[in-house]
Amino acid sequence: MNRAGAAAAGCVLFALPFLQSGLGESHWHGAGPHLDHAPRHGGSLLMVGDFHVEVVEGAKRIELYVSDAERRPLEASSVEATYDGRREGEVRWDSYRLVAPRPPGYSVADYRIRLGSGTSFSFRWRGGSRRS
Amino acid sequence: MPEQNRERDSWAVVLLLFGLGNALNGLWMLASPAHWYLNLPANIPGSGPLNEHFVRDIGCIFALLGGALLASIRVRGWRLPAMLAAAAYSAAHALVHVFDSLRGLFEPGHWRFDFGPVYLASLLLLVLTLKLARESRE
Repeated sequence: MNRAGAAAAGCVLFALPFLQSGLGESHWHGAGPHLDHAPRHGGSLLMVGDFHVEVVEGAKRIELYVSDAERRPLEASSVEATYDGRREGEVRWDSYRLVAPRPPGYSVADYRIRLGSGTSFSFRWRGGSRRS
Repeated sequence: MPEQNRERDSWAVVLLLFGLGNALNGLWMLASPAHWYLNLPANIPGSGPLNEHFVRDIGCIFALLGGALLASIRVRGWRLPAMLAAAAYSAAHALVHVFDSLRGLFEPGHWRFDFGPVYLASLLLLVLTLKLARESRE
């Protein structure tokens, strides 16, 4: 093999691990904005303007997965949360989601999420049912 | 340098780039599974939620393959085994895609997106490995 052939083959092979571990597994190619509203984490998916939030309520905590119109995950820079009008615990960014302690017996949660891009949006979540 | 030696040495370029790709991807997966999950330009979240442990498991494979390929630049006796291991992994991965496409896990037409990065790239790797094997015997 000559040097040029080796360099060309090497460049293709350099990208191969990233392609194999990523592109081949992806199912996003055919989806457009707001064509995918399936929950991915066993929760309920909300559409808030051009954003999506999947709310997963556990016994002791609430997880929020924020994504854009095409369900690409977004990172939040800050969050304000109130439960029945009161601040309860701290909402923290954990790996790739927001995690908040679940206040016992609450009925309405109001979240204001600020994204890394500076955009912010608010939504109301009625404990385990649906937003208003 | 004799022509044959120079040609053989050009394998070092292939091994360097291929090894770097594997090592970087593996180290990224091991160091920060969530960052890899969110930032690999392929929308991994489209195929399901993050399992950090599982990402690190697979990261071990890429890191080890990368290490073996890079080491084989100096240790010539490792070249064929390292390329064989990488080609075998790539071929097995492609077969999993064939299986999952046939059983309907992927949507119809998904093979078009797999064709280049999965099937064609695996074929290229297989051809290169066979070429290396042939040259190693000469």
